[in-house]
Amino acid sequence: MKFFEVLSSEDLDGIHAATLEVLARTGMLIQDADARERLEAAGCGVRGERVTFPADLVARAVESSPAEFTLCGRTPEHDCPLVPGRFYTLSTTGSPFVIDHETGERRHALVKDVADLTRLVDALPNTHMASPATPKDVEPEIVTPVRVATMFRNTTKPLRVAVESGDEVRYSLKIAAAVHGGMEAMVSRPQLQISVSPLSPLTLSGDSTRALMVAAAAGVPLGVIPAPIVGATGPMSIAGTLVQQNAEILAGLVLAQVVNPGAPILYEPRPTVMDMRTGQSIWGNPEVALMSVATAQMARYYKIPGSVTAFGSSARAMDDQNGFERALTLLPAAQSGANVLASLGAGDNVIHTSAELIVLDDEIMSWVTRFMRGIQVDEDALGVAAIHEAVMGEGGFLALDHTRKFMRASEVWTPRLSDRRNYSDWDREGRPTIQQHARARVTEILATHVVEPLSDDIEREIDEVIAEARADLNAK
Amino acid sequence: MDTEALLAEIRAAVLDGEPSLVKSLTEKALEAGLPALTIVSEGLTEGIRRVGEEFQKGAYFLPDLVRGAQSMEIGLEVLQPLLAGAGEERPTHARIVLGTVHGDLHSIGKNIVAAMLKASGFAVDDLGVNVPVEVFVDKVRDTEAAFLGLSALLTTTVHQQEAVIKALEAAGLRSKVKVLLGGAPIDQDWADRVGADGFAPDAARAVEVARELAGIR
Repeated sequence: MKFFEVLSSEDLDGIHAATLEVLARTGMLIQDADARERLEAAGCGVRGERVTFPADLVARAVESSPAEFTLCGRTPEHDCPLVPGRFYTLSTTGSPFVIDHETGERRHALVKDVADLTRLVDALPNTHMASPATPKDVEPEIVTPVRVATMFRNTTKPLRVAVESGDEVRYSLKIAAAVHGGMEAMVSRPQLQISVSPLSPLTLSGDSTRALMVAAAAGVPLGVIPAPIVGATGPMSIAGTLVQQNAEILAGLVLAQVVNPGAPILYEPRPTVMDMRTGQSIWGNPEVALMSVATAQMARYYKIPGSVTAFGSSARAMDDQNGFERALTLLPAAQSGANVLASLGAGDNVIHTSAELIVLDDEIMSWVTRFMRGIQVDEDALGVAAIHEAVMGEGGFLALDHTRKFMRASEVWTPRLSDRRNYSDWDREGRPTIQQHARARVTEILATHVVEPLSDDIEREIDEVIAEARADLNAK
Repeated sequence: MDTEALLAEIRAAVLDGEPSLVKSLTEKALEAGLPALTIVSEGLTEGIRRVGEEFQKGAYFLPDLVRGAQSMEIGLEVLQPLLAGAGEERPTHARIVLGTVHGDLHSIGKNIVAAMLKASGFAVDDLGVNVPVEVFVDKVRDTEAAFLGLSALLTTTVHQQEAVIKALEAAGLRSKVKVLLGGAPIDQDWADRVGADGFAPDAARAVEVARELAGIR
């Protein structure tokens, strides 16, 4: 299996060696005493809140992390096995704003948007997993249990939520267990992946540490998701940021393995670059695409599944900038062998998401999926007989069996959104843009697509969990 | 000793973002008999003003701004005791207290705003991250700062901005300080809702808003 690579094997060894140096010398600030105690017992050095990691402990922890695991749907047909060569898309997480597909206005994300956007992911053919925006119309303390419940109701595909505390993990897992008939059933076929974010550089806050440990103990798929910004919270040199994020992930991985050897870990960084004029964290730069490819290589180096930034743009509108940044980020990411292609539907540096962007990304992914299939070369495809028949006969190629066979096997891609009409027809229709086509598709899907509802019993249990979370967390 | 040349060297060292050089040149300037306030205004402040100019022109970028601000600060540290002793204060546009709210550890946006405000001639008290409500209120009271900047990146900590504003009201300080909000989930709508005086979607805008509210330019 050949993947697109930007780093040589010497480069990978160099990054790994540099990472071990960082972990042994600079270490990680871990703001939870219990975690530090456990790491110290496992062989780490601890000075105050600073934890250093010996190379052999890192090696053992990488060894015990599973090479493959599956992010499951409610039922098996939507399962996403994270194995070499398979890739799946994940919609973007945490956006505080959405672009309303009816008014075109930017506004705060609401629970209704989490529901609609998740249902859209459920309906589209090239969107495989869902992650939620951050709704404003919920008390902050229970925003995660609420959006997790909302996602479970609106898709049967695998889900992922990025969390900020152990409580958020606990209640999210309770909801997942309610849907699947208990924790054991849920863990054996996990529909929910948890992601925990170290703070760059090299810090795990108390809340994030506890979130990581709860998720690891439960044995659900756990993504370690640092987001260093090149030049600001990570080194200005790309290789340096690859080293730092690697250290941040491996530190999280070690802690997870100490808590629960064999806990499934996803190598899931989201590095960006800083715009040195405005201070914004930028998605859609060439370096982000480079880092996605490098990340996929690093994940393979450690033999654990990898998840990379694959969609995204700095553009605020669905214009050419948006188009080229998305396409140029996705293609290399898909070719890199990353198992999860993330941030689908993200715009304006992930500050907003929208139904139209999700539909557009589904289209781009469809294009890329065809590209990744490559070219079939066998006796039939080489077409010697077909060529002879077409040339010596009268109908050319259009009438051949060969043509219908390959056409029906989707040898050539057909678009859903891209407009192929002639100029006059297009002009007469008012010159519709791809955004307008996307909008029409959104409207159609949201009006018609139905997700198999959860049973009344499950709904009742979910409501109880949320009530429990509300009482427990609001009181704190 | 040519004092004009010394001041020029200090300006250059600030422009080049060389903190140790600024420190030693500042000490040298004091030894040469230059008054502290002169070193501040003709050396440090003038140097940082030029840094800001280069940034506006697009020749300098944030790292240059941060280094310039650092260099200026180190010179000020040397001179501050002398200024205080003489009952003098370096002229600044206004004093601003900055911090990331309680529960939130993110600092990079705030740090950039701090550097840009310093380069723009503000006195900045940066309280760091995870700052409890009372600490903000106490600092505003103690320094009589004209501005308070609150940064929140996590949607779960945004409401702390409202809590700080309410605490300022309860302490009878609300009318004495202008509150500015920043952070990715923040918008004008939220700023209006919690009664803030301003909001900035990025660091450059933060400086503009502060300058507008301070009545500069």
